[in-house]
Amino acid sequence: MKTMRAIAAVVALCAAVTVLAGDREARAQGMFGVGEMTAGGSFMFGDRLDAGGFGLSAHFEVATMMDQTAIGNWLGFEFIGELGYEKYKGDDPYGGDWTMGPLIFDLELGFPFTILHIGDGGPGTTLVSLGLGAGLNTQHVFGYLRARILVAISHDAFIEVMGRWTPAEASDDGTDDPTGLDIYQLRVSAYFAVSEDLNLQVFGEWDPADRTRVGPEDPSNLAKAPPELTTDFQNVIRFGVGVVF
Amino acid sequence: MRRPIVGAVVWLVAMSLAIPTASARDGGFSFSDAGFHLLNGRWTAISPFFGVGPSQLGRASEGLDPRVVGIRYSERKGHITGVFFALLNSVAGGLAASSPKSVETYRSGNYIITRTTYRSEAEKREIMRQTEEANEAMLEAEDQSTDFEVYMTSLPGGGEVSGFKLNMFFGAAFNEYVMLDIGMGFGHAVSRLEREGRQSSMTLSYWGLPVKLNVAAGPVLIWLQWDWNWLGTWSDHTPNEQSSDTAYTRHNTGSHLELGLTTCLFERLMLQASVTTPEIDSLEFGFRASLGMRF
Repeated sequence: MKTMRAIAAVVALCAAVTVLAGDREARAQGMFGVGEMTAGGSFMFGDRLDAGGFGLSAHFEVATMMDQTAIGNWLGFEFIGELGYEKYKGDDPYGGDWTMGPLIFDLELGFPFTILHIGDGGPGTTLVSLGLGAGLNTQHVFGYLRARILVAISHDAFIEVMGRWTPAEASDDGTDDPTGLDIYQLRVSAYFAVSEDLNLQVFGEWDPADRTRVGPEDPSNLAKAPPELTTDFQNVIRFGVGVVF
Repeated sequence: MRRPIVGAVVWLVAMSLAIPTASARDGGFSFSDAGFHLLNGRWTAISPFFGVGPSQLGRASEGLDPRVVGIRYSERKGHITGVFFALLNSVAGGLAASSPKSVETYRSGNYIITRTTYRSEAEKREIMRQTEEANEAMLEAEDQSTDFEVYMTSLPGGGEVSGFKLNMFFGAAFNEYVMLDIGMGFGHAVSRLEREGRQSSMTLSYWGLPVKLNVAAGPVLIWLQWDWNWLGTWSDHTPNEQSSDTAYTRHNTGSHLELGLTTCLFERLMLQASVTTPEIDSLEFGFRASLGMRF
């Protein structure tokens, strides 16, 4: 049911932005508008496997659009790197040594493409993109679908809403039991100029995740997919700040 | 749940027809040249697709061919292929530069002597320079394309396959109308179905070399694609087949041949139809069709 809802949401988003895609004059180059890279730090807290904990990390992110399509949209790439410390109480029943900490290590590489430009770069300019990518961290290796909506609220301030979805089928936590984690990440960022030479990113993020395990195949009913067991994995809130280049 | 999805797709298609694209407004697209546009333009597309009949996902000789429903992401003149191969090349170049130039072991009297010759700093720099040059060439290659298919059982259409297949190509253009794409692909999919009381579970493993010949012919792009599955050709991968009157399991490592036509309407709407077969001499063909949006 969650998969169906996610697909419906993606299709609805595509339909909605197509409706709004009347003005294709906007030619925003950078996903972030004020720059294409950000580096900073963040603090997170919440629970994982029903045990509380927290984390601190440094991040480096690139998101840039480089080539224009024949239709007037843009293609680009994104890279996210993160390194930090985290500690959650309790144990992982599936024996993942790194599940509860102490290392935060995350690498992601994706390929966004815009599906909507509205505006000419001034206030109100809106840029929407989708992107496929892959990554790895201490919990799993994964593929993802990411959507970003960037809105210019003034000449030097932007709001970005970013969502990332990793279905469990695209996640492998390296244990004997397939599969892995369902990730539903939602981030709201504000990008703004503090001075002529300094642009900042401030963000809040919600990182809920489920864990899905696939049971054994029933040899007497091969046509039916094996049963899946889905449990809560984590519910984490994160706040961060970064310098935009 | 199906009604909102169908409604959203209909809405998407209707709106796409109503909104002129940038190049259409500039007179840069006409249906009569759609094939040329598809071959030489830069674009991405998301296309739901449907397939029936023989394919590498099933076993035609057993009458066990799954229905395939999924979503395809395609791009032409994008970045995925270049970045992927540049990453592979960087890893290979780094390993080559840091590895010994030669290692030889020989016996001398009562001793076994191993002599290791390391690369000089100049040789290491030369390897890294060549790696960097190759990376730049791959990243800047205009004629590269990617097809990423996700097979799903939860979409409308009764799909019997779940999994994925990714093909990445670099193109070699013979002229403006003919291009040969060649690259690397991999995938994994599981099909579960029941035919005439016989239940089946088949797993496809694919890693190999896809080759695709594209010919732009007026309003259509005609293409012939062969996904040469190395797992079934060069390895000792056994099919691991188990068959009875009521059950059938198999590990498929077959190749895939597909002949198709692609066109686009109003520049945004992409239509594709093709015939497929896992073995050309079987004379058994399946059919696939898709309707997608280009961005």
